[in-house]
Amino acid sequence: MGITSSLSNSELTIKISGKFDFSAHQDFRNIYEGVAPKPSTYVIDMTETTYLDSSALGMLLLLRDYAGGTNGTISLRNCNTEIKKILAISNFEQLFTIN
Amino acid sequence: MKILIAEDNFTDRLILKKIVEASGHEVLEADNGVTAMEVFVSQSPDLVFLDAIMPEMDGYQAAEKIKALTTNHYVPIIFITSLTEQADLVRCMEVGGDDFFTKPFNKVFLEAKLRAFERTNNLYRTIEKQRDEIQFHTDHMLQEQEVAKRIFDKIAHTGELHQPYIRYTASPMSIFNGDILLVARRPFGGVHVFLGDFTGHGLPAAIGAMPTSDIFFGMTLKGFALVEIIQELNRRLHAVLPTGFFCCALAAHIDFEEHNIQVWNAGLPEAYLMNRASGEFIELPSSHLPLGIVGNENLNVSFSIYSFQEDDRLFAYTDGVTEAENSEGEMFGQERLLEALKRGINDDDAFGCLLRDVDEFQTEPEQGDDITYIEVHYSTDYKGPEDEQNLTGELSSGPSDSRFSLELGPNSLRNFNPLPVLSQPLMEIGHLQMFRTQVLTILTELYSNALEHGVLKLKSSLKSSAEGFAEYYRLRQLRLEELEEGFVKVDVKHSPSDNGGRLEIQVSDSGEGFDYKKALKKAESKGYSGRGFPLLYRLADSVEFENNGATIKVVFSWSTGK
Repeated sequence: MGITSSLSNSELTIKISGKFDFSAHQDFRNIYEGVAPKPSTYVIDMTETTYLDSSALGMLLLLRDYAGGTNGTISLRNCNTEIKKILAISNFEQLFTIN
Repeated sequence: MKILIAEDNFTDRLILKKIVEASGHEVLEADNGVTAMEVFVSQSPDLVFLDAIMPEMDGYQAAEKIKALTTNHYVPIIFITSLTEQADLVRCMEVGGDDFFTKPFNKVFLEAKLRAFERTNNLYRTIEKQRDEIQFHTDHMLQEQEVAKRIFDKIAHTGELHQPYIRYTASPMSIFNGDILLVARRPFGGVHVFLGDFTGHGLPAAIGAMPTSDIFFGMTLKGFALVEIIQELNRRLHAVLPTGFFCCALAAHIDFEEHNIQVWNAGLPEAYLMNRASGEFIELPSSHLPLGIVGNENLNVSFSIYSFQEDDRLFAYTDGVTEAENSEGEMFGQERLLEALKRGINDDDAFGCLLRDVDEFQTEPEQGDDITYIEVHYSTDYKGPEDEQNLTGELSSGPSDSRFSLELGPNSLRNFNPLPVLSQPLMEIGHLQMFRTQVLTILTELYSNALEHGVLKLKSSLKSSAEGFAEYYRLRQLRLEELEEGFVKVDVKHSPSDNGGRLEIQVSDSGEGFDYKKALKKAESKGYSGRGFPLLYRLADSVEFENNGATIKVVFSWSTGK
C-alpha cells in the first residue's frame, strides 16, 4: 500500500496503490488535512488500487465530511471492475462521482 | 544486587566476597551445590557465582536446577573456574551459565562484569514488570470480553433463529462479531429478517448492534411496518455512529399467508431467492446506501416485492463469505457461491453445500472478515407467534373501560401507520396483551381493508398472481401519493368483564363499500381459510357490515380462561 498526492489549481489528487484498507487510515487523513487552504475538489486516483474494504469506504466518507458533506466535490477515478463492484454494492455513486 | 557465591574453597570465597561487597552488593554464601540450592530458593538472589567443581552437587547440576526454577525470571549465572579446557568451558555455557570467570580473580575485571550484569538485570526486571502488567490487563480484558460476548450473542443473533424454517451460521472472527442476524415474528403473521454487517469488528460494531436489536424487536412487536423500522434504525445509527462507520444491511418481510416477500438490500452482497422446483435464482442486489451514512431525508426505503411460494428460499449472507481467502490470497467470490448454491439445491441442501465449499476453500478460518449466512424456507407449518409475555399488573388494570377514536385524512393515510398507536393503549389493558396477536391482526385486517379497498379502490383479485403482487403494491404506492380526499375512521371501545373484557372495533372508510355478501359466501365455501374476512371470522365473536360494507364492526371478547 502506498499513498501519494499532488495539488494543482485547488484540485487535490490522492493516488492509492495496492490494497486500500485500514493501514492507509493515518496517511490518507494526513494528506487531505495537511493541505491549506482547503482544495475545492478532490480526486481519488485508483489506477493502481487493487482492492478496498469497508474501512476504506469509511475513510472516503470521512473525506466527504471534511470536504463539506453534500457540498464537497469528490470524484473516484480509474476504478477497476472489482472496486467498481464494491462501490456499487454500497451504492456510493449516490455520494461520490465515480468515473 | 543480592549475589550468591557458591564456592567450596574458603579462601576463594572470601576474596570474591570482599570484591563483590566493595562494589556495593549484598553477599550470600554456600560451600556446596546442595546448600547453594537451599539459599537460592529461600533468598532469591539476583546473580549467582557457581564453582564448577564442588562437593555434594557440582556447579553444572546446580546451574541446570537454577535455570529450571527461573524460566519466567532472569538470574544470570557466572561460573568460577580454574579450568582451561575448552570443552569444560563450553559445558559451563551449555548447562545454562551466562558467563565464566577464571581464577585467579582480577578485581578490576570482575567489577566491570558486575556492572554489566547489573545493567542487563535492570533491563530484564523492566521487561518482566511490563510483561506482567500486559498479562494482567490481557487476562482482565479477555475475561470481560467473555462476559460481554455472552450478552452480545443474546443481542446480535437472536429471535426466531431456532425455527425449523431457518438455517444460519454466524462465525465470529473476533470475539465480537461485526455481523448481526435477527429474526422476529410479526404479531399478525409473517416474519421480519434483518442481517447487518457493521464496519469493523469488536466494540464499535457491538455497541452499534445494541440499538439495532432493540429497535428491530421492539418495533416489530408493537406492529410497526418494516419501512418504519428501517427509518428508525437509520435515524438512530446515523445519530450514534461516527462518520466512516455504517451498517450494511438486508431487511426482509416474509408473509407466508400472502405468499410474498419484500426485500430491502442496502450494501450487502447480492442475496438470492431460490425456487427449488424450477431451479430459478432471482438476484436481490443492493440498491441503497448502507444504514447510518445519510440522514432520513436522503434515505430510500423502497422495497422490492417478490412472490414467495412453497419450496422457495431466501438466501442472504455478509461479504465475509465471498471474501473468504484461500492460501493463494484468492477470494471465494460470487461465482463459486452461486455454483455451490445451484449444486446444492438439487439435494435440497444449498446451504450445507455452500458451507462445505467455503470451509474447504478457506485455508485459515481465523483469517478474514466475519462470516454470516441465513436461509429462510417458505414454511406451511408456520404458526402465528405464541405470546410469551410475562403478565404484569392486575387483570383489569389500565384503560379497561375506555373508548377512543382516530380519523385519518389523505395526508395521514399517506404518511402514517396508525396500528402501533391504536394497539398501544389496548396493550396496557390488564391481561389483554395475552391476545396481542389476535387484537393486532383484527386491527390490521380492518385497517388495510378500509385503506386499500375502500379508500384506494384496489382489487384484491390482483394479488392472485405472482406478478400481480408487485403491481398491487405499485398501485397502492401510486394512489397513496396522488390521494386528495378520503378518510379511515377507527372507533375502539373496551369494557371489562369478570375474567377479561369485551373489545368493539369499528372501522369506516370513505369508499363505496363492496359486495360483502358475495365475499362472505366465498369465504364460507373455502372453510374460512386464508387472510382477510375469513381470518376476521375465525378470530372475532361477531363481524357486522353496515353502510354497504364501508363500515365493519367487530366484537372480540376475551377472558383469561379463554
